[in-house]
Amino acid sequence: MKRRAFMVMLVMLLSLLLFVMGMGFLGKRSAQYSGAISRMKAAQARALAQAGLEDARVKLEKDLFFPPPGDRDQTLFSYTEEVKDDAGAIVGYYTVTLDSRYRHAPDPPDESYPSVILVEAIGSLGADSQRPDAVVHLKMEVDLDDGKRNVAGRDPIPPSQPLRVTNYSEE
Amino acid sequence: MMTMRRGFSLAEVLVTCSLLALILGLLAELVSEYAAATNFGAAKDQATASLEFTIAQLRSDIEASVEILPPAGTQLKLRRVHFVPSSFIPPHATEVPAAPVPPIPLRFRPVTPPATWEPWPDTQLVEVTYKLEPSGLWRGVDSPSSSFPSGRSLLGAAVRGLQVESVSVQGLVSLRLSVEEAKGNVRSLNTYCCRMVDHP
Repeated sequence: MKRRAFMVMLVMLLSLLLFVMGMGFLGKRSAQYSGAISRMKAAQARALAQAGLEDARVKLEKDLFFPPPGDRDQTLFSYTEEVKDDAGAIVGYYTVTLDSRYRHAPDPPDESYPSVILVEAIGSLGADSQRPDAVVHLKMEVDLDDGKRNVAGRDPIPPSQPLRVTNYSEE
Repeated sequence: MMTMRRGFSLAEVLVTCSLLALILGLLAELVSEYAAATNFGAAKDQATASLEFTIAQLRSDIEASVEILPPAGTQLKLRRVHFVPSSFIPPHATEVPAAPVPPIPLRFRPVTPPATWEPWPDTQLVEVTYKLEPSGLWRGVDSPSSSFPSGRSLLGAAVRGLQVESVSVQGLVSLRLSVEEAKGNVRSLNTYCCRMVDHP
C-alpha cells in the first residue's frame, strides 16, 4: 500500500510559515531597538562633548596659564579625560583641543588686538576609545578679552565677564 | 483477520480540521494584533526620530545663534554665523600666512594673529527661519552671500505644532513641539534651548 505523508508536509509548511513570520517580526523589532539605542548613545556622546567644552571653559576662566604656554611656536594644546560612572566604570572620553593661533599677547598689552581661542571638544562614548559607540564634535570660539576692548564699535563687555563665547557650533 | 486502514475515519478528520481551524484562527488574530502593535510602534519610532532630528537642528541653530528675533507663534527666526563643516578655522578668520618653514608641520607653524577680529561679520551671518506649514516644519536659510546656500528644506514632516516663546533676554527659548505619531494620535513635547553665544 502506498501511503502519502501529506500531514507531515502540511505541518512542516505551517512551521516554516510561522518561523518566517516570527523572524520577520523579530527583525523589525530589532531595527526599532537598535535605532532607539543609537539615539541614546548619540545623546550621551553629546553630553560628553559638552562636558569637555565646559571643562575647558572653566579652566580658561580660572587658570591664568591655561593652555600652558609651552613652546613659543606651539599653537595647539590637546588633552583627553575619561569620564567614569558612580561604579568606576568608564563611560567615555572627551578630547579637548585648544587652538591659540589667534591669541595675541603683545608686550605691552594692546587692547586693540583680539585674543581668541578656538576650542573643539570631541565626546566619544564607550570604554574603547579606538572604537567608540558614538562620537559628537562641538566647537566654540572664546574671547579671553578682559572686557575693555570694544569689538567693531559695539558696546564694551562688562569687566565682570572675563570670558565670553563668540561662536558655538555643533557638527 | 487483519484490517487494512487506508486513511482516517470521518470523526478523526473532523476533529483534526476543527482543531487546525481553531489554532489557525487564534494564530491569525494574534499575528494581526501583533502586526498592528508593531506598525504602531514603528510609526511612533519614526515620529520620535523625526522629532529628535528636528529638535537637534533647532537646538544647534539656537545655541549657535547670535540673535533670536522676536518669536511669533508658529515661527522662529534667528541669525547665526555660517560655519563650514569639518573646518576648525572659522570662516571669518583673516589668517596671515606664516613664513615658509617647510620642515615644520603646518599645525605647528606660528601664525600672526589678525589685527582685527569681527566674530559676526554681516556677510557671514545667515538668517534661519523655522515655519510650520500643513506639510510639516520647514527650515529656511536666507544668506546675504552667494557663497552660502539659501533655500528651504522640510525638516519634520510629522511635526504638527510649534510654539516658540522667549523666556529670557539672555537667549533662553521655550519650545513646544507637537508630532503626529499615528493617525490622529498627537504627542506634545516641551523643551528649552539656550543661546550659547555671548552677543552684546
